[in-house]
Amino acid sequence: MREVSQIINGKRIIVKKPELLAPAGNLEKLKVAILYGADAVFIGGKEFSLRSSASNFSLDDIKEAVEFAHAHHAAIHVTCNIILHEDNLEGLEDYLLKLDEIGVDAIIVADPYIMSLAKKLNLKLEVHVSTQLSTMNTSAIRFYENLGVDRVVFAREVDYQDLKEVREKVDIDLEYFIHGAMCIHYSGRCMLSNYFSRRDANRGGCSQSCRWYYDIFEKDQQLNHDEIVPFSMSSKDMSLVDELPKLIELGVDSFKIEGRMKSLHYIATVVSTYRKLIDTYCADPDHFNKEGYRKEIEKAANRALCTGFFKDFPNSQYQLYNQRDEHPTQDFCARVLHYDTSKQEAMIEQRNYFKVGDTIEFFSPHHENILIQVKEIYNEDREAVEVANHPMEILYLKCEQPLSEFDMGRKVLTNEK
Amino acid sequence: MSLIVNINSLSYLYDYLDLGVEHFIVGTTQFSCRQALTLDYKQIVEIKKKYPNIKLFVLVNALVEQKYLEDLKKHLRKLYECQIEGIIFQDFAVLQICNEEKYAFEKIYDPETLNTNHQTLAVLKEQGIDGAFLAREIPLKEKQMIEQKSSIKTMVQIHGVEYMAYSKRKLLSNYKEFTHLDFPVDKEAQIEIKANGVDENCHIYEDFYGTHITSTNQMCALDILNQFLDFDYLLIDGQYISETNLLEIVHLYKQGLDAISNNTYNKESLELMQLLYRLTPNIHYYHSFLFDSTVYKIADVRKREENERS
Repeated sequence: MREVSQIINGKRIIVKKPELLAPAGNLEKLKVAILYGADAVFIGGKEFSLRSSASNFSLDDIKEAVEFAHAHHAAIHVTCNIILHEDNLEGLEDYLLKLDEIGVDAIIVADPYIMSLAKKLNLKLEVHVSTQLSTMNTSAIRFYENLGVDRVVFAREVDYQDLKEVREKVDIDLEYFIHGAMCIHYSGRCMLSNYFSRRDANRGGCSQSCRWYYDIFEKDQQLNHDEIVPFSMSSKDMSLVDELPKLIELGVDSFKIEGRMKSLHYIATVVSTYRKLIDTYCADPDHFNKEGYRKEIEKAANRALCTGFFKDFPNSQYQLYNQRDEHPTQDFCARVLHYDTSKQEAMIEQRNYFKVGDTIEFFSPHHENILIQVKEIYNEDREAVEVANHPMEILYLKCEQPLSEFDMGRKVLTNEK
Repeated sequence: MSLIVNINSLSYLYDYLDLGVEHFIVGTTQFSCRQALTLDYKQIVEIKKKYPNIKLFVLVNALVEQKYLEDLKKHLRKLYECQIEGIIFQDFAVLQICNEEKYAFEKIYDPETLNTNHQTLAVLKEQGIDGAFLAREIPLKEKQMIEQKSSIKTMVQIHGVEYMAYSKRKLLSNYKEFTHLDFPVDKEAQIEIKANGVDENCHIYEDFYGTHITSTNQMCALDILNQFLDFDYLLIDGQYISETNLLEIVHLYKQGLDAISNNTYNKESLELMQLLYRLTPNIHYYHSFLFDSTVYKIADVRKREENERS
């Protein structure tokens, strides 16, 4: 078993710090993920990747991503997790060779043929088994080891006890989801989208039919009606923010955040929070104070949160049966482009409505959160405006405390002040 | 090429064998999902003894949690001792254990959705599988292409309800808990769900392994059976079909195959279909994805939606 902690100068510290693996749907998000503390970022290519709705990266984009990541001591994992059909086989070998040549650190794959091909081509990049294969036990892991893979991404259905036992019995790198949306059915084994929408879930076309509402019948008698909500399979999203110390102590190699299609604000908030939590815990695990992290994570939550399968078996409290359970999205309103120290002024890109009088919380990988009350807003023509209501408009705000490029601003809701 | 029946009763076993159908799929009390019939080890041994020519395949198709891995090892040993013809599995743990223990029965990989190209099957053959169930969602032409390029046995479904989803969650129990409704959740309860805006209902039930969803419509290839001759196993799924109807349906397919041998299929297939409709007037039959490919690229999705609108 790998050594997770050591006593150094009378104090226990975590020596096996897990990798924080973040998602990115485009280059801007990738840069934010890395600047906010991700050790590695997973991205999808234009081909052979799920999440066809995400922007996805061309080979040139991937090259730029690798250069940026490596310059910041981070790694790039490219998802090649499509379930290949006959017409997807063409071009695969060239694509893998190009990814390797570009310097991609790992590919995430769900098809055993890609695992085998990557090894046959003698690529330098690592091969990671995707969660699409729903791996939950040591014998399945041994099977993938025979195929020469370097890491296994666990099924989200794996609970703490099983994870602990597996960690004790295998040496291969293990990756575990700590945050994000979850498939309701075993990943890769769901055909609801194919049947209802004729959209192939295993090639990136999932229509998320598990989030729909269904009438339910017992022998032709409808059970739901006006007073009884329709049947739904939809789940709350997962966040293991409160459980992370237990996971770190297990020696899991990589903590994965889901969400290649999520916003810049989501990525910045979630990555920076987990980064701070991991670093703080690892530096002094025996005096760790877990206060504050959950509240920070909730600022970026799209849905209510739960612990997935990690802690307890999911009951009705883990599911979403009506809209009232949807968690309100926090108002991400600005991205900082530049800060002029002499003028104490931030140039920002507007992302959501705000107005003079609102309070904005700026957060960053470089400083603690900064609250400012908006007193004046200027547009690019240096005209004072009362409201910022044009997405992506360049605006200027006064701020006495220095901000940096890529700092994010979110409007503080009245009940949070 | 053989018919293989996910059989739902032992009552007519002699009649099936008398028809010349020898391959059957059964479940056991452990590690089986979506079986139409559950047997114990003793029953398996007795059937093998009573019908020496029978070829029994056991569903070991649950996805396996680490906590049940030792039970799985014991189960596979028991099945090996029962001298079954083969297993149908989807967790690679099953294959790994069979390889380590050198169990010689046929190992058919059926992850329901993942067998969609011949190269993957070639890799898995090297890893020890003997056969593979080809995913339902790929068109017949692609299935035929995979079969032609593969050197392992191929299985395709030709009749019955179709697998749609498998969750570890207890989705019906959770809904009951939330709504305080009281209804049974097992397979016999025949609970159905219907998505808003979608015409078809689905069967849904729970067992030890979670929640399972299948179609209520049944796929049928009786009228195009002559296009399936190259596959090794033609699956007729007996779930949600009565014992007697299943026997009759298998009989119709056997007649179809005989007609193909006698070069009379073109003439007889229509009559066979009429017999099927008469036998099961309330069932909606369809060709599943055999002639209807799915899309996945956003541009293709939008193009199709535009076509549907116009």
